[in-house]
Amino acid sequence: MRELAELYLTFLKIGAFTFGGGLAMLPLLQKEVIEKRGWADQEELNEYYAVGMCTPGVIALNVSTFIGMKRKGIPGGVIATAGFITAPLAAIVLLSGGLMVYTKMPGAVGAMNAIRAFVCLIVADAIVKFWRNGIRSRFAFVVAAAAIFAKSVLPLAGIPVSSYVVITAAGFLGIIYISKA
Amino acid sequence: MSISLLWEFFKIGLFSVGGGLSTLPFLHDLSLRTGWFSLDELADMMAVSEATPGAVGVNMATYVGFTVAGVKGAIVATVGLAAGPLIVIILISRLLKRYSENRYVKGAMAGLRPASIGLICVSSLSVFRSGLFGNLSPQNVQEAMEILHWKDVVIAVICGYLWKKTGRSPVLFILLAGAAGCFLNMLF
Repeated sequence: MRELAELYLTFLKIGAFTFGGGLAMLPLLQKEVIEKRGWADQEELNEYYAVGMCTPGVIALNVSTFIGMKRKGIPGGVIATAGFITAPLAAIVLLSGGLMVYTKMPGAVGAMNAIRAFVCLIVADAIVKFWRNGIRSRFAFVVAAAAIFAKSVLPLAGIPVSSYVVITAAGFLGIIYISKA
Repeated sequence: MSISLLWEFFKIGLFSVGGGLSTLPFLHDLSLRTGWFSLDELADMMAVSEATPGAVGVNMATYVGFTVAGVKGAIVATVGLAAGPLIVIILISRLLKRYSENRYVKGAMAGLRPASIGLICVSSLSVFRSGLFGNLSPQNVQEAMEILHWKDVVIAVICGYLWKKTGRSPVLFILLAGAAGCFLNMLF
């Protein structure tokens, strides 16, 4: 019980101080999980990231689940994941509740507009990084281009394509491709 | 409402592989399909999710849930997003190494990742439009130049330059952009 509580509080802390994506939580994991508590070593953490990339879901959550499970089995996995989402959940409920009240004020509108413009750069930066790291073969390029085509050109021609269909088809294409290679 | 919210986010959790932005295409689809929130609201959620603690993908789910059905919605959407991956990981946890080195898993990932990147490229266009033009959609270049949020673009470029130059966390520059936007808005 005490260990589960410690697991919950540790991931609560990691969730509260992570900003951005799954990689942003890596330094925190190294400090809290490896150095302070010795729950995993660097090699295991690398493996969790590698497998977390190949399992459904957001990486940050997946890595939390892996560490929780290693520590305390299935309850550990659930508790670590729950811990990770607690602080962001509270922050967003408070903040967006507040935003709804304050967005009527002139200063707040100005702040939000400027932030939206800057976030474009963050998103563009992330896309460039994804593209550089993820599109390294001709096959990958063709799949990415096909996905772009399916979501931009086909809807204009009156054929809306669901993202679920694109992802599922791409998964099967990858399996066929690797079976033939 | 709660049940359909849970189901939608359960599906999104299972289909978004990789980083936080991978949920964006599915949220984009969800907005068009259900009308629960607008694409402009989605751009706002993106902005707020980058600036609040936690992983962006999880935060966007929380925010969408909150917009659709208040605090209960926020909890339902977040739990829905986490549930599918949690189940998958519990199932594969005994064979971690064998799973990630499996030929078919590798093959599926070789297809999924670039497709996810392609989807993100398309769905981020609405985030860009919202950032540059607010709630409007220009029909031609001339109109675009007229309604472009010049002030915000200048703030964004300056913050972007400082961000890349200092290499500090983007959150700092989100706050800086917000402060600058607030200040300019009060002045003019």
